[in-house]
Amino acid sequence: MNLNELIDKQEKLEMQITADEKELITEGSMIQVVSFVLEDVEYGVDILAVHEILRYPEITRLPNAPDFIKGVINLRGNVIPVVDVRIRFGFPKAKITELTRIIVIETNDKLVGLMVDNVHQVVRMAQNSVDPPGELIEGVSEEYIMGIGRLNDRLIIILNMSNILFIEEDKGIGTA
Amino acid sequence: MAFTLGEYQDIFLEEADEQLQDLNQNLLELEKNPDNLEIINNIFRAAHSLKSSAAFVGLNELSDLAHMMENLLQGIRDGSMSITPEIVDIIFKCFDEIHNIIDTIASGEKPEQDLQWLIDDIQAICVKSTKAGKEKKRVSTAASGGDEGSDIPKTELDGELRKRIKEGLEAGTSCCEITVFIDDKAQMKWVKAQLVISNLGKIGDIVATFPSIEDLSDDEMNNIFKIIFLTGASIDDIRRASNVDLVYRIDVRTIRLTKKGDKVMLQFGDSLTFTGDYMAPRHEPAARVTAGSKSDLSDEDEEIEDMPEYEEEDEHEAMEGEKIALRVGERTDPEKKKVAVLKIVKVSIDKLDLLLNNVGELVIANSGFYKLYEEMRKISEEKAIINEFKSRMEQMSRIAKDLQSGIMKTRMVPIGQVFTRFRRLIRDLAKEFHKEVELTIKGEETELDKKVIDSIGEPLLHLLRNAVDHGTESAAERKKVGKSETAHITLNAYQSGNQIFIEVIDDGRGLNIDQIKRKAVERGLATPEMIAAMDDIDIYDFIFTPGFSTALKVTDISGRGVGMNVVKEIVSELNGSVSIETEWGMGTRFVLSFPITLAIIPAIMVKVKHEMYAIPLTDVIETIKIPQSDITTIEGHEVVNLRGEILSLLRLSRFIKLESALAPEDKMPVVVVGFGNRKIGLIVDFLEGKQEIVIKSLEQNYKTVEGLAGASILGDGSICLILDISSMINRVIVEQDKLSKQDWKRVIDSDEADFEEIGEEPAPVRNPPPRSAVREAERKASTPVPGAGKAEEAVSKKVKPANETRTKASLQTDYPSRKPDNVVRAFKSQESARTATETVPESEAQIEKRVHRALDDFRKELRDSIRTTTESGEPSEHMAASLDISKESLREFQLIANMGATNAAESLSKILNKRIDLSIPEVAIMPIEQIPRYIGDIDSVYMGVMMGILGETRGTVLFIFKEKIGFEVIDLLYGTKTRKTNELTEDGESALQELTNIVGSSVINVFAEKTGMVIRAGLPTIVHDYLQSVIDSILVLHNMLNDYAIVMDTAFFFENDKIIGNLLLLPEAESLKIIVKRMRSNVGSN
Repeated sequence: MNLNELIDKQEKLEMQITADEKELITEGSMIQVVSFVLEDVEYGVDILAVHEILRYPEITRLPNAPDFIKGVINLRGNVIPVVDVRIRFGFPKAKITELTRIIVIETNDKLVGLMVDNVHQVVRMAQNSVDPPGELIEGVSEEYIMGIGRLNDRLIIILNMSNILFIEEDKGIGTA
Repeated sequence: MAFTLGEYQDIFLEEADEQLQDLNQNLLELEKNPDNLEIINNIFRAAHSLKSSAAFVGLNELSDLAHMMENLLQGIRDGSMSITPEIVDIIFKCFDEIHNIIDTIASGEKPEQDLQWLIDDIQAICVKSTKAGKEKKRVSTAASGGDEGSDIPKTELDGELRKRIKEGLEAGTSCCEITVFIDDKAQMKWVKAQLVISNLGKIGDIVATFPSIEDLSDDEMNNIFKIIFLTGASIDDIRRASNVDLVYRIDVRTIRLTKKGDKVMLQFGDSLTFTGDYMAPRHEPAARVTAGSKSDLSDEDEEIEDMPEYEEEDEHEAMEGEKIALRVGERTDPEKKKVAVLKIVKVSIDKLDLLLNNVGELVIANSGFYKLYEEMRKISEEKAIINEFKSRMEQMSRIAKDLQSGIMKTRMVPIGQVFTRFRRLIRDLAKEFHKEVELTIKGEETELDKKVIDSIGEPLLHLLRNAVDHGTESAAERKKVGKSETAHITLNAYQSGNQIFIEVIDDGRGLNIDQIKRKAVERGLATPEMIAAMDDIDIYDFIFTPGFSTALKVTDISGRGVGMNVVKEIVSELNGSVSIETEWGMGTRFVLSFPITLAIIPAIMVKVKHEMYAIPLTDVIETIKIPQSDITTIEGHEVVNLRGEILSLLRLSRFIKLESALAPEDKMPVVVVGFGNRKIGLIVDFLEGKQEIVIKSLEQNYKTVEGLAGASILGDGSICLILDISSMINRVIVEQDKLSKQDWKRVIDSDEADFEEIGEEPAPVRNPPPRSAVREAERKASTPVPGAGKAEEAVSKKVKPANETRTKASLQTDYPSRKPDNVVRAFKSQESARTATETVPESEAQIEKRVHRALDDFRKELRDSIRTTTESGEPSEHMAASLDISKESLREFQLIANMGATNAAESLSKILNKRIDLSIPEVAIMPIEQIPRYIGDIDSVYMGVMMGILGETRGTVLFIFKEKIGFEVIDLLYGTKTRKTNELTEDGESALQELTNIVGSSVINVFAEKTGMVIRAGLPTIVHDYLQSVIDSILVLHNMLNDYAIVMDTAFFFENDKIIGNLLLLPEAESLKIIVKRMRSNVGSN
């Protein structure tokens, strides 16, 4: 992913990034996450996995799919599934509001939309401030968690994207 | 970790692939024309580029191999070596190895093939061939000239030889130079050579041989030698005499006397080449070399001086001459040798799809402008600008659409590239099995969707392997049965309608139906009874069953019974189908058919509530509407009786877990869909019409979802899901099978009569039997098939027929006869009669009532539709007036005609034991001469059965079929094998007459009943002739006086909409008036 694409993404997020901050992105010691808040807990998605962020689009329901699959959307001719992150994490459904966003991520060569209540901000943090998921986080299964980032007083749960679409289904069906 | 060659891997693979194809093509050509330098050059070029590109990506071994090939070819190019079968073989081996390596790399593994042996082999051949070349030089008396000589010895005619030839020619015998090529592998070549020489000695006089006879006795001799031969025998005789085992080629050049000025010269004629086992003659380009008498140097290039003193120069000149000859050859037939090379840029299908996506987006985005334009038009005063905007916008939309269809077309690829791959395969297989097989390829230019092209290779491979291994016989066997020794396999592709057909045809032994039957029974796929009832076509279908093989022995490549199953599976995946035509002893033809493009398919759009779904049109049989009250529920499963068939229903709303928007009193739209042999009715909320849709996979970003075949993006950018009919049908079948097991027990417990029947045939059948078997089983109540068919059977008595809204009315055979006095003729099969009486004895009256009701409804519908058509104006008023018939009269006649036609259809249905559809009878007045054209194809042969109407009213009933259908009907009536009858015998005639008698009488009965007149039918007469003649006979027979005739015409159809024939009623005008009058009075008095 080159810098220009990154910049594009930043602009979509309506974030201001100064010149020296850009340099930081490319440095290995820092990571950037797109963060969103769900039931008072802040989650982060590695910005390198984020394709783009959309307002709530028209979603076509996918019958016979697991309930956390909200449906499919048309992303410039691509049909991509949208995961309702609330349901995926076992939270109750929420109303769709003006703030509802779809974070389109790329994982395992697939594009997946994550439907979240809001997108909070882009957070930079040092790589070494991210701890492995030791303690159990209430409500969210460990499989989705890559680590827990600490930024001053804030705790941000960094999500593991590769599992968000498939893992539980496989378990549920009993096929591996 | 996948092996990769770095960033240039893709480019390398692409190039290598191209070069391999090139190589392959040229190698095959080379085998046929070993002398063609052009081909050598092509191979050389391919080897060379391969060498560079392999070195570039670090495949040094491959590069080395290519280098060796280059060396070898260089030798051939510059003439220091000649092409031998050995060399061709080694080049083939190289090709295989290179192919292997490329494949390994493409699959992401490190190539570890050891090439050293091959390189060594080539080295050995190079050394040997060159040595052989030199050896020959030494043996040959000629001191070599400037160039290195080729393996072919030179013809050197010294004075004495020339004299002998001249004398011979002047004496009237002919002279020729024969070049004999002995297979490299042959042992003791000199024996072969001696054999040829002694054979030739019998039919003529051998002037000389090159090398000399002495040298020919040496076992070290080269495998090519020449004979100068004086003979009176024909070329054919010479060929036969020279055709000794392991002689693979003979060239014959005649030597003639020509006069140049006052000098008599010897001139070489055209060279005739005989190659291969059949040694078919083939004209080689002329190598005109003249041997003249002592003279000045000729100014013509192809003439050589033959001064013995200048032997060296002479030799040199001869070389020149030969070289020129070769060049001439190149010039004369280059188009034959050169494979057309298209200028091509290779593009990955992913890139194309991406483009297609974007263009689709463009089209959609463009539609946004229209909205914008409407808005602007409302608020803006600037008309000119708005109009300009509009035209630009429209232009853009046009371009976008062109772009879209252009990219669609790009996905289409000619099938030739797949086909040509098989030339090599067939060559190798034929060698392996010691068969002589010739592959003919047709229709290479036919274009198919890239996706089909990519997957079609495997099924074709299986079919071709089977064709060579099992299909074709050995040469000896073929000879015995009087076929040509060489078997022919044809690969053919063509487009017809919306389908692309690919055929694999062999002229081998065909499929052995008895063997298939036996295997099918052995493997428990069907019972002997079922087999007996099956069509041949259904029996052939068994070979597609997994593990099904009739091969007695399993060979390396076939006989395991996997191939055909794979064929079927892959073809179905591509929305295609396979059919088999075969005749024992004559050959087999497999026909694969595919939709032209997979990217865009026509689909029926349906809605449940607000959600739109698409059903691929290929899966749709029909769409109907049924009242909800006609649905019967068995154990929670909804079924409907559709024209006597039990149709399982699936509510789409339930499948997609959504509330239906239909109110209980609404008629329900049902899409009848079929997959394989099964069909179900899909209940939807709304039918939204047909649309072309672009298929997008769900797997690309998600995974397969049950019941969905993919998604499509509609014009407004919204996504519509495409239903996967096969999975839906499977789900229904699974549920039904569960049900039938429970239901089975229940039926056994509750129903004595059924129980007994079931007891007779307890063997359960696991696989669903082919369609006809089910049909047959359903018909034979005594041998029911457990499973789905059984459930239907058990159910049928509780289900009432649905009144469907359809322009064609339908009648079923399985209903008991409406009128007891309506005699069912002997034609009706016994089984069916039994079914009717056994399954529904107690409710006959009820059913009769229902049938009446259904028929009445149908008549009402007919009447309604007729009213609307007649009210919309009558074009034949003038004609009606001339016959003094009023519009009202016609309309009333129409009503009665309707009843008659319905009655006739009912009888026909009973006789043929098939469901019969009929078109709404049309009553028209028309000029007599137009009748034939009105009925059908005047240039076709028809069978017409006519029957006079006698009594108080007069006219003619004519039942007319096309010849082919007539035979089919006869087959049906006699219950013989389909398509057996092909001529009209007396029996056939009487069958048709009987049929017409019944059908016609049922019409006449209605007339008699409604009018209270005494009307009876005359004797049926059959006319088998062109349509015009058939009609003419009627006119003559019934002495038509008027220019116009009243014609009632009804067409009858089989349930697959195939037309059976037309029933025509030609009442005399006066009679019609009487009928109408009587009808009125009759109705009035009722």
